[in-house]
Amino acid sequence: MGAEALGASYRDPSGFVYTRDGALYRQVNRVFQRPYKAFLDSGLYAELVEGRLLVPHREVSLDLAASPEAVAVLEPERVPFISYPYEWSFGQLRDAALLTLDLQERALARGLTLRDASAYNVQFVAGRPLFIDTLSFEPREPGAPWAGYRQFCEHFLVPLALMSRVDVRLSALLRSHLEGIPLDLGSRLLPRGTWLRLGLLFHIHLHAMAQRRYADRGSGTVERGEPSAATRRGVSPAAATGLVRSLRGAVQSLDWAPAGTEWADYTTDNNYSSAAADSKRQVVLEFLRGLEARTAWDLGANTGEYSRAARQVVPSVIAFDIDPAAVERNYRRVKAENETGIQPLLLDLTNPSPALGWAHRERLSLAERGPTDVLLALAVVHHLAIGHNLPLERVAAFLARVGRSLIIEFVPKSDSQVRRLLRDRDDIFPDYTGEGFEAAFRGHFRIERAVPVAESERTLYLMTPLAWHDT
Amino acid sequence: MMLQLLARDTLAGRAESWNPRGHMYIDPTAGSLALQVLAAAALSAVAVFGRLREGLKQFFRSLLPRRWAQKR
Repeated sequence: MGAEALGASYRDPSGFVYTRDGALYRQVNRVFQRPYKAFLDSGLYAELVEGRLLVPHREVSLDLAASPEAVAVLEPERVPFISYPYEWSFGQLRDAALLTLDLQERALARGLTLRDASAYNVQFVAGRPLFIDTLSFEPREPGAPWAGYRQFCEHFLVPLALMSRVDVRLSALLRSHLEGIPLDLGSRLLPRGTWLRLGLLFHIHLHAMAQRRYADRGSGTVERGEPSAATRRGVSPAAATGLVRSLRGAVQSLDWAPAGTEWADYTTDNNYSSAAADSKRQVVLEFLRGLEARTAWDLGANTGEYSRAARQVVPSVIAFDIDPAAVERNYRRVKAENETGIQPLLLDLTNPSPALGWAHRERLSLAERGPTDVLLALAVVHHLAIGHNLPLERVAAFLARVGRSLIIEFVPKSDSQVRRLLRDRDDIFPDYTGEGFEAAFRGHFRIERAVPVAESERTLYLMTPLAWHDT
Repeated sequence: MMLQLLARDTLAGRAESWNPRGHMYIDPTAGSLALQVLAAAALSAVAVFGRLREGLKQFFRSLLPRRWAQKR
């Protein structure tokens, strides 16, 4: 099979990422041979890999190259699940920003620099941010300003400031602005009080003003092709490091307390007795033990209680939830307890991440990043069917596409959580019954087992998609 | 003499000139580059002021009789 370049890997002339026969490679092009060698010879690669800050790779045969421009072919360690900045919690985006700055400062100390500062250069692996763009490092030209400064501010600082100072849900702007939230938009949306904070004043507000001021000018190159006096005077290494430290201070000064959202306190404020919760956990574990699953997606995971139960059996669990506070709390716990098999992420199941970017190929949809070995849909289906008027058959059709097995909890109308959903509206759901649920799901799944949850009226099901779903 | 050495040392730390053409594969934008150059100039000015101030203090301290200098 020939090489196929990744949809997101096309901007950088130094090289690109592609797949061949199911394996992932990164090609180094001839134009980048010297900077790449300089990066390796500086010792920075070894330092970063040892510190688990940069994805390790091994060099493989040039016969595996995708094009004649290759001077080296790298096989990086594979990231188990690709996630995107618009799916990260506040803390995850902040840690990704701090990682980028840490790398830039280390690079500067060795006479190198990051060629860009995209949030898409970072992935989360084993609960920690990891830089994945090995070709982002090059020797720093003496006096040169940092090319990635604007990109850093738009990919990291502006969204963090908006999430911290306005509303945490503004991270959704990263989905419509893949190149980062523009400085002028961020400056306009931030409250006036941010003009009194030195870091935000300089790196966002004055930065936006400088953008407007110099919008019609180049970097000083006049008609004869010579740099102008203004830009001829450059930036010393000390000033470059000072800029990075100033950015770090600005990022560290931003914080957000995960509370006050709809589901922030669900784990402690629900209708489960402890016996019911224990019973549910045991049944879920029993189902999982029979599956030999390597990956699991926990839909509506909240703070990850059942994700952690699943983790006892499944090595890699993605804990999705719509609530930013729940995801943030889950992430903070992952960090505090050094958990390596749980990845919390934001997801609105009624509007999951679509395919985005050029030709709909740069950023994959949620479905394209599956299917997972097992889906957990615990205490979720009533929100979809009743809270969002989704027909059960359509819920079943989607779940059958994204998972090879399904563990799902049916919550009947007699349950207090469903009665709360129906409290202020007409009950227009005659088919929302146990029989109706099973009939809808039988159109897409084979029901392997059905087990009632003790001390509740809920039922847990283990299901397998029917063969025609081709998962 | 000391002030001359101090000035020379300070000016030697000034950033070398650079050519904006060539290396950047992403668009850094002129405003962003200009802001960094201005910030670097401001930081240099602050550093120069700090060193000059320190240099002047040392100079005047050297003029004091030894006994007074030790008391201070």
